[in-house]
Amino acid sequence: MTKPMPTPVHWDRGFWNLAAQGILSAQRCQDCNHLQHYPRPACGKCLSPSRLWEHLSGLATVYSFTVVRRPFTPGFDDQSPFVLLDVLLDEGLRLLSRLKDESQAEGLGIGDRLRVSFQQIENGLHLPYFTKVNA
Amino acid sequence: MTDATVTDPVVIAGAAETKFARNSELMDLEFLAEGMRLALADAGIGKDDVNGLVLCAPVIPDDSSYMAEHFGFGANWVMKADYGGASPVVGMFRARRAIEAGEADVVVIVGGGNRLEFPERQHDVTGSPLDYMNRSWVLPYGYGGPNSSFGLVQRRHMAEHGTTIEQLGKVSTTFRRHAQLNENALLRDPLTLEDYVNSELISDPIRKYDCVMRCTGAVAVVLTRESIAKKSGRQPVYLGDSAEHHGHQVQEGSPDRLETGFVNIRDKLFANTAREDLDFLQLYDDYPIAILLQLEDLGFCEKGKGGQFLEETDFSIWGELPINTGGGLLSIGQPRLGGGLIPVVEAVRQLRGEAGARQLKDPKLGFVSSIGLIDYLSNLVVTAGLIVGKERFK
Repeated sequence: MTKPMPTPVHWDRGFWNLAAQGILSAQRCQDCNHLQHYPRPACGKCLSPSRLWEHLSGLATVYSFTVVRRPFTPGFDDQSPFVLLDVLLDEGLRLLSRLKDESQAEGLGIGDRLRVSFQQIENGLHLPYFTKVNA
Repeated sequence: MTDATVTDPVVIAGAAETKFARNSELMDLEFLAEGMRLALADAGIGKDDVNGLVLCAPVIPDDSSYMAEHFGFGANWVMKADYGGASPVVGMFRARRAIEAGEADVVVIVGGGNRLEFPERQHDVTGSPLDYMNRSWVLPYGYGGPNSSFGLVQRRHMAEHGTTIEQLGKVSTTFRRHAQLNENALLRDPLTLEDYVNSELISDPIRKYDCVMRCTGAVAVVLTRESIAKKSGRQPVYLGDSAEHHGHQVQEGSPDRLETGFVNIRDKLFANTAREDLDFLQLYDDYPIAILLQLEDLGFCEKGKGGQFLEETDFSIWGELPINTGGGLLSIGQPRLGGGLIPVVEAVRQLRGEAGARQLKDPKLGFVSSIGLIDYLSNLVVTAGLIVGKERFK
């Protein structure tokens, strides 16, 4: 079964273009300086359409996580159980992601340090996954 | 407020559930029709007296006027409510104001359906924000659905506040005892804390008996003015303060996983009704952790103390603060968007004294909550609450 894949849209192309270069980014509003993820059609604070793609450090900590044993998403049955990560980026943004190397799931805890590590998927896009690193 | 909202207030005239089932051959619209028929019969009001509709079904494309046409309603006021699990309760709020404004006189609110699967995510991705979010930012990572979202919330609550599996398990086991006294509940086998703790892990720390079971069926209520409701001889149920909130912490880069939108509306909800005067709570319960968050954020206990509150409080029908006296969605089942009305129906039964073996002793005031949709990074997108009473509110 085919896995669901992101479909780039007008307001998030910058994210996917930078991801292909191994850079994690987020929308920075040019009018009010608000930083947001996931990408939205306008700034969530002031509705400005004016945005730049700010490069992020890719460094983060585990905010929470769950071990998915019954995938709801088609195409993931052969991977379960796997860890779904609630990631807190050092810049103060959160995003949902996965461990790139599932063998790191053993002993995983809230507060563990992470670094982004992109993985290319079937439609050519690069998804931000994360790797556990020593603090 | 106009004089009529005081002298002839909007009330719940009727409320009903269809039979619930795990599976059925009936289609969504057949369930909705049956729910409406039963609620009108309960109200003692004829179909042709209905001139307003709130429809809650996962039907795509959304077309409320044509759904009304299918059911043979010539109506003055029709809407489709699409607030996730909170759809029908928020729809009740809209209907109440429409009646007060004179746009309709009798409104049926109905939700439910058959399909156990979520609608296909085939929308144009730029047209549906929910589908866009899921398709590009959630599903590609693999996802266990709401079980995973609540797994992330529950793990964080356990880590921050020391909440235990046993404290949460008491929610499932207590509601199950209530369900054993409710013939329309689908899950009525005894459930011990040991059963709960040892049940299959679904999305750690969420286990099987944390998860609501989807089912088929419909639930409906009828709202009208007291003067119309009283013609049937049925006891009306009165509506007190209500409030709703959408998109709590939506501008935060890192929203608190544990705080819900109820913090924004609790003062309004309990401005004229003291929490300690409530005879019961009927809370939307797709997971025990959702009950805990609601008790905290509605102000029944301090933030972070929800686990301790559950442990120390007897919230069974025999205790000091009865919660989900019919068994809750956790033991009754979740008939699509009709699930949001299950707490309302149970409140009506209790206030009318029609709850049979699980009847509380002469309850006069209750609270109903509704929650809907799960946010990418926090928890509930929609939170809503309503005070209901046996007598007119001042």
